[in-house]
Amino acid sequence: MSSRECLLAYELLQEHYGKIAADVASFLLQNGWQPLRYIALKANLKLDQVRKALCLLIQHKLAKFHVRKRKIVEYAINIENVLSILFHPKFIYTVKLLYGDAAELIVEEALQHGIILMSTAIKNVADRLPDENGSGKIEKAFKDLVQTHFLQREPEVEKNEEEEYIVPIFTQNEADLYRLPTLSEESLKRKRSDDGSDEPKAKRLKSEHETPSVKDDGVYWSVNISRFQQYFRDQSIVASVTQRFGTPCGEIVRAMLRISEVTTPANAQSTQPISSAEIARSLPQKLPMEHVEQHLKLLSNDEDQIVQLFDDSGSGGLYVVNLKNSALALATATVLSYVQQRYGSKACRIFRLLMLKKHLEQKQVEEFAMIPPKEAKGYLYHMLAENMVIMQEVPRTPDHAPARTFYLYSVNIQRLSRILLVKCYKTCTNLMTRHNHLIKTNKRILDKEERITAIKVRVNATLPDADEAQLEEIEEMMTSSERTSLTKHQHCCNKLHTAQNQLLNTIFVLDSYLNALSSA
Amino acid sequence: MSRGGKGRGRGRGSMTFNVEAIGFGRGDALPASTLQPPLPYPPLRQQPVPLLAGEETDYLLALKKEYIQTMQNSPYFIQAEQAKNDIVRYSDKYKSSKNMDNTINWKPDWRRLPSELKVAVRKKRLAQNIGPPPKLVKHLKTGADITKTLDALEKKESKTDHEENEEEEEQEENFENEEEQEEDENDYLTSYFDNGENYLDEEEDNLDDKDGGIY
Repeated sequence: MSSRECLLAYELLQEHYGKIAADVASFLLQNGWQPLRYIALKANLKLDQVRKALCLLIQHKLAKFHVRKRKIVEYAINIENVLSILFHPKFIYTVKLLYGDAAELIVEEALQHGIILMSTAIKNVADRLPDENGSGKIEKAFKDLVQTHFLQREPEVEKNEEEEYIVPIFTQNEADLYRLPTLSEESLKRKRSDDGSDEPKAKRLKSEHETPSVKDDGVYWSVNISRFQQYFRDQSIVASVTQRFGTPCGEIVRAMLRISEVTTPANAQSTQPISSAEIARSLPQKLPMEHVEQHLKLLSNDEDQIVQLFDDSGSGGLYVVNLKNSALALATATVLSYVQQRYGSKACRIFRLLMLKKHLEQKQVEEFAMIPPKEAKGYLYHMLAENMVIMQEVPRTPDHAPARTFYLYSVNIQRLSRILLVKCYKTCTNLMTRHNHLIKTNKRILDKEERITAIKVRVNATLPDADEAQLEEIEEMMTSSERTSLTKHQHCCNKLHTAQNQLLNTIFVLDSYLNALSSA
Repeated sequence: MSRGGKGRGRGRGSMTFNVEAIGFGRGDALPASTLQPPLPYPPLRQQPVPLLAGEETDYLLALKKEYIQTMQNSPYFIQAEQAKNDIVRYSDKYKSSKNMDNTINWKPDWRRLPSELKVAVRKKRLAQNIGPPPKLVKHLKTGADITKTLDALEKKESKTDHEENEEEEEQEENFENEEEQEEDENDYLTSYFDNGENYLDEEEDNLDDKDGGIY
């Protein structure tokens, strides 16, 4: 965890949950597991404020706790979840594209509340979608989301018989992760007191026995972040394959990923092996079998090895999508495009050369890149100075005399990915800081605008027949210069937000590559 | 070691390696040494690529703004209690934000949280309660019949036990099995935590609600 990540986490938490939560979190990030009272003391906050902040952070799965020495409760922050706040709008948008408006609102509710009861989610969404009569459609959307693992069930509290407990104990079966509680119409409308017995008894959970008043009491749901990441990953793999080999190949890879979507664990190296016949069957537009096999052969002969031949026995053979290789390919492409944009195409040529040949002496670089020596040196040193290229000394004699030493240049994609990721986090923090600064400097105008809008709303509500002159008078409360600075402010804010959104793709590609490496 | 040739730069002769290997020909000047830190904002060598535009970008932008707005208005957003103003104003009494710091605005499921985190849940006050209670004005005008007030208070005190029980039952959902600890740690409900500041206020509320007035 770098200090840049901590800073970004602080900004994000401040923007979404307020300064106190951000202070508590940033203290925990710097100091690791800490008990409640120590946080309050050291972060210079009131005890109740810290309690509130921790409740909030735990509710949103941003913090975790454990017991040390059987009575001290300690807290820590889930940095990955905090950083994924950046992706929340994207999650919502993705779900809207996949499952429509009701699902969009369900995910929005789930993100806003951190963990949420199914009944609450459905009720809230029904309130926000007035045109949709009946919660059946919303319930169906919820079920779809659970079945495709975009929502997951939170571990349940083990019923504690004793009165005294320090921390709740959670239990969860793997099998239960995506199992829906039976939610009848009545339990959505009113809290039912009798326990319906249409469900096999063995399946029911303990807590449901204990509190039969609400059917899904204690069964909380949250957004499955890794499932979303998996979806984004699949999308970017398909996009890159499409770009490189054309639409049919893209469709084949998409079909392969879709078949193994739910069966492949999140951190797997590659998907389940799939036979070419099965791929051909699940393509949206039917392709002749020979074409499918040709495309698969083409893909598996590619140097990036995104699609690999798993086993060529039987008819056609089994293929897998190698997720680790695809993460590497995507990260490499990102790094290359950064070098290209930043240092120019000639520098990029040198960079590619180093990737290809692994280690090169300076002289070899100049020769192989076919760039005049002086220019080549300039590019090389420039990249070396900014840590894009690594130099390794190999002395011929133990005294490291420069005349008798080889200087080998090389590149390391993993290292560069990390550097660029940190740079992205820094950029994001800077954008948010700038946004806060803008809001602070233009506070007066923003307040005024808010007031005027409020007045307008009130006038429209109370006096439906207000004449033009009155409305104009209200409009004129804001001078034209104020109006221009307001538009300018809004324009700037929009740019800053868009830039943040656009950064997400880069952050995602680099982050998933580094995760794939660490999980392997 | 012959130094001082024009434009040869400093320390050419003292280099331990062949300077030509790193691209300085015979007679070239070495760059001047840097004597100051680099600029905080060095000039851009490459212009940044313009941001993407399109329907998706616009929608995401709107979504992001709306999401942040919703989060900031949600009960989860923790606002610090405003520092006391330098001037004590009469209107301060009727501000709805009292004791913000030791109450929580939403109802956590306490079963899922460590027991030491329990904080009083802030009760939603009805809009009508926020305005100045009309009887207080009367109080001030008539010079507040103190003995009567005290009597009423006494009466109220005898009833308190009863009332407390009622209120606790109400909050049972949130405070399961934890009454004892609450009392230890002073985690009272705001309504019966009295720090003396809002003495008159508090009394008025209770009298209005439960005792049905004193006159």
